[in-house]
Amino acid sequence: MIAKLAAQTLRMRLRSILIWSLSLSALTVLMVAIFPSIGKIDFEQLLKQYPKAMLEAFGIEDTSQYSTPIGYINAELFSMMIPLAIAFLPLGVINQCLPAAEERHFLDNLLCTPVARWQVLAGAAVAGATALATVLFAVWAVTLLAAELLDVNLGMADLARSCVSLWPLASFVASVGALMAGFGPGRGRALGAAGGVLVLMYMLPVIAAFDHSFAQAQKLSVFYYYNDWLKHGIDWSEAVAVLAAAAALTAIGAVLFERRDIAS
Amino acid sequence: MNGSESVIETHGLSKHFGRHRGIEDVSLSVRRGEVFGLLGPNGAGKSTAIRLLLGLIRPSAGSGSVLGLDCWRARRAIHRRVGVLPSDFAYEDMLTGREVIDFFRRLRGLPADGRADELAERLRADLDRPLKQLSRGNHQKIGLIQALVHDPELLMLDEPTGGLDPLMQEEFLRIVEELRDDGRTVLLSSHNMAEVERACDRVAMIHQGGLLAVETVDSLLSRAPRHLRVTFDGPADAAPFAALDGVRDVRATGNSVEMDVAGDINGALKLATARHVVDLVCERPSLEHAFVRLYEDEDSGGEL
Repeated sequence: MIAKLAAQTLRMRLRSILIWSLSLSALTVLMVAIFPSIGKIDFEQLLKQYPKAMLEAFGIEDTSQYSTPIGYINAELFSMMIPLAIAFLPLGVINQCLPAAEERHFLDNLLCTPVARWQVLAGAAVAGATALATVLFAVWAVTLLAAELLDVNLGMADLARSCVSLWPLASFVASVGALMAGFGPGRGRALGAAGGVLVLMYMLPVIAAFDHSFAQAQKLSVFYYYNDWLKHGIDWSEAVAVLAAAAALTAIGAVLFERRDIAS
Repeated sequence: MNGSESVIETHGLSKHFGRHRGIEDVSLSVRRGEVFGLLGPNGAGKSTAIRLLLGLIRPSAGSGSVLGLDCWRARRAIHRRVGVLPSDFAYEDMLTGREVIDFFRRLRGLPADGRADELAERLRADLDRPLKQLSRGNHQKIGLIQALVHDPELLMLDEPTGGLDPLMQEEFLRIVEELRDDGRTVLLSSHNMAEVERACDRVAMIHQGGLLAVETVDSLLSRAPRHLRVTFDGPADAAPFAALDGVRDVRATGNSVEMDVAGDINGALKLATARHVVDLVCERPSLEHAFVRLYEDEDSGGEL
């Protein structure tokens, strides 16, 4: 049942998935295309002039990272712009399947079939995670192809690591949307809460770089781990823990969704 | 299965939305094989009652069962056996009617058996156009097909003929009659009194969230006032008629006098025939008339 619901959702969101894939791929391809000219700039010398805390705040531990294509793309796109943007893809899928569907009375129809409410929520979560994986794969494939054509040595595994790192992060943010959908109707509320959590989590490591009293608190942020995965490779135990937290929030959302009234 | 078996039962069923009333202390029973109508003005609580029975919302008090199953705890088992047309419903606009019906059929684990095409032909529904290109009436037809396609033993239809043209309303009524003949149960809410009068065996009238009456249509009509119009050979006087018990809304115009007579009509007839009567018309009350009168009486604290 969950697979049927997820498949139908993905079919309905095909155009959106395509647009996300094209937009993000265009962005990464642009970065690959301009790297040969950017790479000539001595960023290492330039960045050494900045305060250490400021560099840490922007996830720049190693000033030589701008000298490699993957380091440049990670710093320019994967450290902030792409994670903040792509988290809204699975979140949007969940939002469309639950609060938005509730507002336009599609849920009334769907929940009058022998489908459990938790299955509707799980189907939305699976569809969101699959859409995310599809877009990340497209970005990876298109960027690699462009790098090959432009003769830029990007590194298949390095780019894969950056793309795969986004999956737990965005899944976690989407799970906040699933939790909010369990609480009650209102797509603005789910989007607002999940967006707020996303920004807060992004800001925690940034604040911790300036104020060390936040050193422990930043560990509550998925970005703390994500930033580390970008630099040092994915720590799979951490990734599993983030995904487990996302699953737990989704499960709580499902329990709440089973118990609440469907808005008329 | 016997005809007196209850398919729907509610006991003191109530629903409040914060400080707002949904329905209050509704107890009723719908028997297998009957067509049961829920009547009431907008906001009376008809849709709330149906949503409670479908387990979309949780009762604040009381209980309800559908097909012997608790309407909140066993809602999924109920949904397997029920066909539903919600009052407000929507599908993905880019899908065609056929795709929508196929999706719901797959969710029910049913094979394609041509039933959707058969119903589409009867209701003259176009299953192959995207829903965004369909009018409200044609959209409604897709909803009806989706509710009927799995041949459910119980149908719950909230305003089923909204947007349908008179020909399709007629076809819908024929389908309901066939379902009843086949032993299936239909619960429908409607504003269309003529439709309810024709289709329903019994009706529940809901007023401000409470149950006003549950009666057969015939009984309701027999209790409703008849409209009497008498024409004399000279000027008519309303006053003697207005003084009679059970007579109201008396109006004299020229040689004619009109009135509504509740209960025994003999008093009015005797008074009329004391003079030379040129013409006399006694109209059978419509359900709409009965409905309006019952509501007026309730609002004024009187009796029918």
